[in-house]
Amino acid sequence: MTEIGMYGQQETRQRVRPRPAWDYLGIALLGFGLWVLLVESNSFYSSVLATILIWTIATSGLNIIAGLGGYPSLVQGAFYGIGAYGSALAMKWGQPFWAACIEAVLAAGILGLIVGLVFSRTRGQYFAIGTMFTGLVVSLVLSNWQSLTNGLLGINVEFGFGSINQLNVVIPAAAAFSLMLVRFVSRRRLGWRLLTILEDEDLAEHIGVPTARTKLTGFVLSACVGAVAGVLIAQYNGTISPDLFDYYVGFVMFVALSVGGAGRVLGPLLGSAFIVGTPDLLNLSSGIGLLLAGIIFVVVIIVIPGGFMSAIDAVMAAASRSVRR
Amino acid sequence: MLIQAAVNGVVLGSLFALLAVGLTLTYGVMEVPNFAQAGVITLSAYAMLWLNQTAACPFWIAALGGLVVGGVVSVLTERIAYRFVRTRPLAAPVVALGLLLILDNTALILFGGDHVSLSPPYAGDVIYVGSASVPAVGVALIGTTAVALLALWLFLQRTKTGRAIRAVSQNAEAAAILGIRLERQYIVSFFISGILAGLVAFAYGPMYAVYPYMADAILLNAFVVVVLGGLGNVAGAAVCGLLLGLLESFGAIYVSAAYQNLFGFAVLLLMIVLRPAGLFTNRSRRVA
Amino acid sequence: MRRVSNDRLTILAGTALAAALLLAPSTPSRADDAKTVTVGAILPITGFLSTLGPPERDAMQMGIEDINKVGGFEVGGQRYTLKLKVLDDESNPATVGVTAYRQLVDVDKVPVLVIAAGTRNYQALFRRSPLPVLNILDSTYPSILDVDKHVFLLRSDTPAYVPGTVWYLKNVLKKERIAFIGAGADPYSAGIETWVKKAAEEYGVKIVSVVNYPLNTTNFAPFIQAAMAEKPDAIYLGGVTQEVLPVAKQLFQSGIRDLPVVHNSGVTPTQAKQIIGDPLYNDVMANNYDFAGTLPETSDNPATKKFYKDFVTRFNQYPSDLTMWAYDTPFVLVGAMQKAGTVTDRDKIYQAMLGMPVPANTISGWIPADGGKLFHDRDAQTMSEGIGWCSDKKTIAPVFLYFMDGLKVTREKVVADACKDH
Repeated sequence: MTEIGMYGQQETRQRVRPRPAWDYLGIALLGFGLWVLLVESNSFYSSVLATILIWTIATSGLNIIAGLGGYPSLVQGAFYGIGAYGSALAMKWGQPFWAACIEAVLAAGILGLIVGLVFSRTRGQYFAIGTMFTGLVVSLVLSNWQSLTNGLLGINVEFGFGSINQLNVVIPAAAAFSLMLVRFVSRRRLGWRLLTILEDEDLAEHIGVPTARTKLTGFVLSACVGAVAGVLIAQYNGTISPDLFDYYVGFVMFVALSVGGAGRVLGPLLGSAFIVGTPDLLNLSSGIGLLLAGIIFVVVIIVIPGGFMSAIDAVMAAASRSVRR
Repeated sequence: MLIQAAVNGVVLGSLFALLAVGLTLTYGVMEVPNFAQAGVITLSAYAMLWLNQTAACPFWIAALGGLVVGGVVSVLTERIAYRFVRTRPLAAPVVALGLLLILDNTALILFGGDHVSLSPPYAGDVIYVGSASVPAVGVALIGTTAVALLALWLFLQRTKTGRAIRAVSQNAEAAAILGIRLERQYIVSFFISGILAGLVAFAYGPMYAVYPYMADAILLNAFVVVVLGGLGNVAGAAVCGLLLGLLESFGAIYVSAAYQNLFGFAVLLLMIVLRPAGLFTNRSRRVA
Repeated sequence: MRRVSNDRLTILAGTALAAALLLAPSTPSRADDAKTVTVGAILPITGFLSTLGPPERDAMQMGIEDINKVGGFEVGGQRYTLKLKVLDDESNPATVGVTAYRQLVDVDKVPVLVIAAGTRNYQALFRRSPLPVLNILDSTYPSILDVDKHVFLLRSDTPAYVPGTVWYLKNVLKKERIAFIGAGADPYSAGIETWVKKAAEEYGVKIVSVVNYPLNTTNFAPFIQAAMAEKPDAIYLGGVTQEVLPVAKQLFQSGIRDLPVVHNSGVTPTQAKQIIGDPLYNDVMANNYDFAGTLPETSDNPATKKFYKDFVTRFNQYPSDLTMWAYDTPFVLVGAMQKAGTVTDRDKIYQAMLGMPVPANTISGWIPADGGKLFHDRDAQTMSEGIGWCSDKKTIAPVFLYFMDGLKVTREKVVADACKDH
């Protein structure tokens, strides 16, 4: 059956999915491959990959409300930042690492609940603008609250893992889990409901889908996953500063998701790889790197509305067609 | 104190109004949040700078040149990018960000990242209103906004093209049925929006300095105004711009200067939640 | 038409990735060519500190060329030349700088790292991969020397010149009511503020107003008005050049023209003209005073004067105090490596640096610590200098030379008619 995706692209969805276990196995294998890549590369490439994977976690979280639900949330950066600062501050105040993580994720979840409630009746463009400005307000307050966050100087983060090797395992594992989470949610009731909201929210409400509750759940879940990514970037770099959750970050995460393929399991991975990788790996001066990124955003979203994932779909469909012939 | 706050407010309000009017024009016609406007302002300012300093043109000629550059760049953004996402409102933020990156970084690559001053001949003058002082560049800003708003009003009300644009912004389908050529209206509105961006560059550039990200921050304030006034409502944007400028100025002087921007953003959040269609709109346009 | 499902794709991707990587050899780390030593530096080439990075890079390049010109240097019987590798932290050490750190330290394996700002942000990395770190810019309070024992500071920092500013205001300009306008989010400004307060208390000067503006402010009117409401007789601006000059310009544009405006940002005439604008800058700078390290132009040392001429000729820019320290950096590195007898053993080089003497051919005018050492508790110091503006020649001239001993001003010299002998 043909459906219309978030960007007006036509999509074919299969009604029956025969072997869900294969999906998870595939993702797990991918996670393993990424771990190998992470530890085998030298420190510079390794750090780029780690950043890509951490962004994958954050954008996977975003994929739930924005990809499945179709709500363009531009505030994911704020939850990312709260995860980072929350865990760092909690540890500074004496909490053990695991408690600090949970507290940071909880804080992000609570903020997600508040923001979700505030914008429960806002949609489309207004939701985008509203969430962007929420991110802006959070960022303004936190970066100027010097006594709490040390302002521009940033905070140094206590290392919570036993060793770097542990961290190197957790990062790809968490990335794989975040992909699996989206896969899992998309086939469960929450996912189906979000998809109906994406299709036609008023109709969904009409036929009895509890849209308000669904959206809120999706939003809070997105926020919590975003916070986990924040905790990991704090651990990996050992230092955090306010530009981590500048409103700009939330915007770019949304773009990363869109360019990679919103609503698709691997979309966040591709999008993050592109957005983080282009400036760092091409080793261009930052002006040219960002110019290139801008051009690609525009071209991709115009030419391939479903993002990289839908381009890959088209290529593989053509390949399988020619094979069958 | 009161007079000074009021004077500051009018200067700030003029800036917001000028910015917001350019944004809301394209919003009304296309439903596109044009973040790239900041990039148009930047390139327009650099054009003025280059003409004035490197090409040694007199300031007023350089300013005119900058306006033309603004108009042209703005039309280019429509022709090359926005045109393709008119029917896909959720792709618009991606395109807008992409365009902003392209424009800002083009400026960065061509001219470097240093802060450079745009210097009109009146840069050092100051005017006194009672006990309050206004820099001449501030007065120029107020003047520019007043002239621009008047010209725009006359255009929209009295000319055929202007009325066509208003028709398209109210209901594109009906306008098309009535025989108005939509493509032409889009191009014209983007051109005017670009000229308005150029005027912002002319008036705002001398206040601080010209650098690749000069307009990114104030654009956010402009968005607040656009939402307050109602997307596509030019008069609403002008009035709300002034109001917001006064609000932020009084807030800065009587409450806390450091959180000046916060007042505006908080108001926006309130509006989006309570009355997303804006303070002044009475159209039955669907908000979602 | 069946669409290829996600799962197959994922499995394909996963296996391909895992296989390719287990089979591929890991990228070999690039050790330096046996005869070239890389000087690795992380500098703010772009961003809000961008007035500082490029001159430092250019001056360091000059120093390296002067060393290579005479055949390089010798360590352990082998001749070496130097090569400069500069990475831009985009004034953003916590996100961009840390990536650059990993590149230079772990991949390029530089023996010593040169940095400018953001020392605190590298703290975790210092612990993970330690090496001697030479900071040529970061003057803050509290000092960055507390961050890690491997950090050296190749300049006098905030407490070495800020108090002299207040002393000059009181004793030479005869002003006693200061209004401080600072860039609160910038740690440089915050450090200046702390020391202005300490100095004011010591010398009996009143601070009538302290206002700080947030990052990215472009309209300083409310802050200026808040400061002026307390009727100061001098304005003290905190922050770096790109923060201070726009405030000075808007002060002038608001009609405030007869108060002395002092700061510690090391402004050059070229920067003033560029940031304030021509011809306005000459009027704005007229009552502007700047207190920082000594300038190459005003030195008595012929080698320093030569550096000044060469820099101006080559880069068409006026060199500030930082350029001298950047120029001296390669000489300091060579001195340390020669004393340690190695170009790769980081720990030996670190130990050598702690006790090394002031190298020959340096031009900054380092004041030796006890025993002729360059570093006094890992800080190398020079005299401090206050400069004023000459409107007729549209350039700067020294008005005050001094050396701080705690809060006591020593070796002071007030220059009368500074513009005349220029």
